Order: sequence, then structure tokens, then C-alpha cells
Amino acid sequence: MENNQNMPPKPNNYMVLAILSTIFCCIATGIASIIYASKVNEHYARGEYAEAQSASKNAKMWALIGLGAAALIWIVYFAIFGLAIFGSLANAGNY
Amino acid sequence: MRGTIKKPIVLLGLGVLSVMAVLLYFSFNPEKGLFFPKCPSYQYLGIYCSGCGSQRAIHDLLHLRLGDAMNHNVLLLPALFVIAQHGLVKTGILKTRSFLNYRLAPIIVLVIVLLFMFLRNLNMAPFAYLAP
Repeated sequence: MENNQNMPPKPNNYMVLAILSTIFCCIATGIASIIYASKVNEHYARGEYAEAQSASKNAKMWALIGLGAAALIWIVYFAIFGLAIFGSLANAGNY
Repeated sequence: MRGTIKKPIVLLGLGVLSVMAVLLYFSFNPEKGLFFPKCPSYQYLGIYCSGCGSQRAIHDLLHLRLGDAMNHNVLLLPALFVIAQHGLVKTGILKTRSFLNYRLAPIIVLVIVLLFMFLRNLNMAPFAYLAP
């Protein structure tokens, strides 16, 4: 953005997804996503648009794998324990 | 465009899930509840990751106990702040530059996360506070 006006806008580096993935799920996929996010920035700053775009894809993929796994575990977990939750909701005044 | 049909459904699903999650984390204290999933990295490796304690921190936050939230996970609050600022910039409400748009933002986040994860696993006096 600084020195090349002809470049298309910077591909999304999905930092928000990466941070959410790191906090709520998996440190491994979160870190992979953050590393690809930084690659997006570096490639773009050097004018390598195609590389930036492929790093952007990878950043998105890793963040979504992490968040997807978290959502899946969470949903399965609460589907299994759902009855227990509603049982204790009914007695919510007791604790 | 790809995803034009899928997007509203995905957003709706995420919305319903988040409302459910907020209600759940407001009503129940993960510290006492048996039915909250434990962090796999703590359960299987015995290591506190950077996200450990965030369920308890969310519960504290929903009850406006900021101190307890920081105690369970120091990074949750700053992370939510940065994401909120990013959202406000994206929607045009804030006219400043998003923190996440800086070129070094990913590296800085990475260093903070790794440092935090390393320090909170040290079982020593000043760092024990960082453990969830």
C-alpha cells in the first residue's frame, strides 16, 4: 500500500479468526494461522501478490480448522451432557 | 459469487450458537460444572495453553468480575478489546487504524501468545499468577 499503487488491495490475513482460534481452541492451529497471517503481510509488502493470496488461503484454512474443531467438540459435548444441563437448570435455585 | 447462499445460514447458525453460549456461560460457573469440556492440552499433556481458563474468564466477564477474568486468563480481555476495535474500524464507526492491520501485528501476537504460554507453565512465584 505504501509504494505500489497498481497492487490490488491486501488479501485478508484473518487475524481475528486466528486469535479466536488461539483463545478458544487449539494453540497449534491458531499459531499456524498467525504465522500464515504474517506471511500475508510480508509477501504483500514485498509486492508478491500471488504468494500473499495463497498465504491468506492457508491462514483462513487453519483458523477455520481450529474453530471448527472447537465448535464440533463443544456441540458434541453439550449434546451428550444436554440432559444434565437442563436437569440442573430446573434446580437452578439450589446452588 | 461463491458463498452468497451459504453465508446467511452460517451467520444465523453462529448467532444462535453464540446466544446459547452466552446464556450457558452466564448461568453456569465452569469452575464448578462437570459438563464443561476441559482444555485438551491440559487434560492430555498437562500443559496450560494460551486459551486455558478462557471458559472461566468468560463466565467472570459476563458477571462483570474483571479481576477474576484477568486471573483466569490475562489475555482474554485484551484479545476481545483488540477484536472489538478491529470490528469498529471495519464497520466504519472508528476512524482510526485497526491494530490488526499493522504489518507486524501477527508477529507481535505470536510472540505474546508463546511467551504467555511459556510463562504461565512456570511454577514460580511471579508467574504462578498467570496460571488459570
